[in-house]
Amino acid sequence: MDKALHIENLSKSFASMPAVKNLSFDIEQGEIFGLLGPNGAGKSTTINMVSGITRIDSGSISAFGFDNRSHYRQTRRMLGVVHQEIVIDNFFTVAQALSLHAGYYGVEDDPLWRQELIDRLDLGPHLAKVMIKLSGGMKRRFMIAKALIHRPRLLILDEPTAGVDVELRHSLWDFVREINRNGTTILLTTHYLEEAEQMCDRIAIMNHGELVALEPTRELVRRLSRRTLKLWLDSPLESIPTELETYHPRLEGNGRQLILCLPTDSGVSELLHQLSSLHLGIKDFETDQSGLEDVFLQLTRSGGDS
Amino acid sequence: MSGSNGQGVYKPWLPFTTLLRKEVLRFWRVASQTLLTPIITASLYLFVFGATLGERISVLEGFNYAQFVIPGLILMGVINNSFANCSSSLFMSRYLGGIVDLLVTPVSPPQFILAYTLAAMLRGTLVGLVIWMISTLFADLPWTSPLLAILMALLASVLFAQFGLIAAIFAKNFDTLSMYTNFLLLPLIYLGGVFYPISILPAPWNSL
Repeated sequence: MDKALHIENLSKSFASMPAVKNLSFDIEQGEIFGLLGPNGAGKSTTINMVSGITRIDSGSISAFGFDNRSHYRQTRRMLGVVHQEIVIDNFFTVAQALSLHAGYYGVEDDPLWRQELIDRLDLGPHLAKVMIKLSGGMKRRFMIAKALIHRPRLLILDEPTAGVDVELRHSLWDFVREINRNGTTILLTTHYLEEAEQMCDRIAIMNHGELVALEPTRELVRRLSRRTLKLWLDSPLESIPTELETYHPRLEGNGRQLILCLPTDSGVSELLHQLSSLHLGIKDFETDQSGLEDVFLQLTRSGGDS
Repeated sequence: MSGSNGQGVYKPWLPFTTLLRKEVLRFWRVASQTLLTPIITASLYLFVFGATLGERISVLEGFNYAQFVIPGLILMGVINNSFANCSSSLFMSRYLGGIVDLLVTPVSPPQFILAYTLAAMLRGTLVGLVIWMISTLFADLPWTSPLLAILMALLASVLFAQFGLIAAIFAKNFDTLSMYTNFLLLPLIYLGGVFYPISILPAPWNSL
């Protein structure tokens, strides 16, 4: 089966400043794929090259087996793009714009599908409005409806929930999950890492135009995140016992709090045994596990050395 | 949800016809600006130069002044509006970001140019046609080569639609866009023989 998206050795520079460097990854059909990275990492440049807005310097992109330069009509028909910036066209109402948008993709406007999108995205009361009259959230919904009107096989969502309130964000993600269940592959970028962790099957993290991580979300979090064990002690410690060095210990609270880091995939029996033999006088304890946000910061601050 | 994944039959010319329809609808929706305003402007010219001042200006090259100025005003309407349709539509699309909605679609570059050009030609020729109809109130035109005149108007429309596209592509802001109007269209109108025969211009302008 062809990959939904195949990117190979992709590079792009702007005025000799590299924005994307030798990027390669695949997206399988039917998955929700997250492309994350700090501002300026090259995510939007990559998405713009995939969707055909930005020219490719070197490398190649193919969608469902079609090269996006030599077969751009085929690939673009299969892509739906929700841009990061809100696109404004004040000449047409929501209804007119949706109808026209299907035609740009070479397919006849399907009134049933259009109505379904209108209903699911609650655009019904706003059909006669021009875009400038819509609220920020409605503009986002309208952009998603436009991107789906030709029934794309790969939906690209570039920061679709930026500046959107919590309730709308949740309803949009529910909708994205639903269309994914119906067979549409999703490529999304978001700054809400918690959402990416919940939504995405796999995550790629970019930094300075390069790929610094690409793994199934759970594995990425498990491999790179750390569990922390915080111990409240009866009496303050003056120095950390050498037996605990492997757990990267540190003391806080005038020596009354001992914090130990545990790799996520290791057991705790050895540690418990050591703590017991050290007779530290433990009053209380607390555990914490870092999530994607910590993994993200770890990867992007360290320059991608994972 | 019935399923988002299952495209209809692809029609290769539909992107072009849709873009053309959109461009025509665009100027039609704001017809008071795009059609009515140039027609009123041209009608004022006709009234001032054709009916009022024209009677005091001597007959030029065998025609009365109204007969002389009407073809120029028609062509001025065609040229101005062909240029303005392309330049304003494409520039606004770039300025407001709507252009990316088109760039991600299968609309090919030739289809893109053709759709913008044909819409501009339609607006230009509509304005020209109405100006000609109004001009019949002021003077009878002695049509010696009507097909050639129509062909010339259409070719001028195509040419200035392309100038409009070029201006919209290269303009960085509204000021630079208006420079194309001020430094390209206005000199052509005032030095190009719309209001007087170019033979009466001093050298070197009369031979340019």
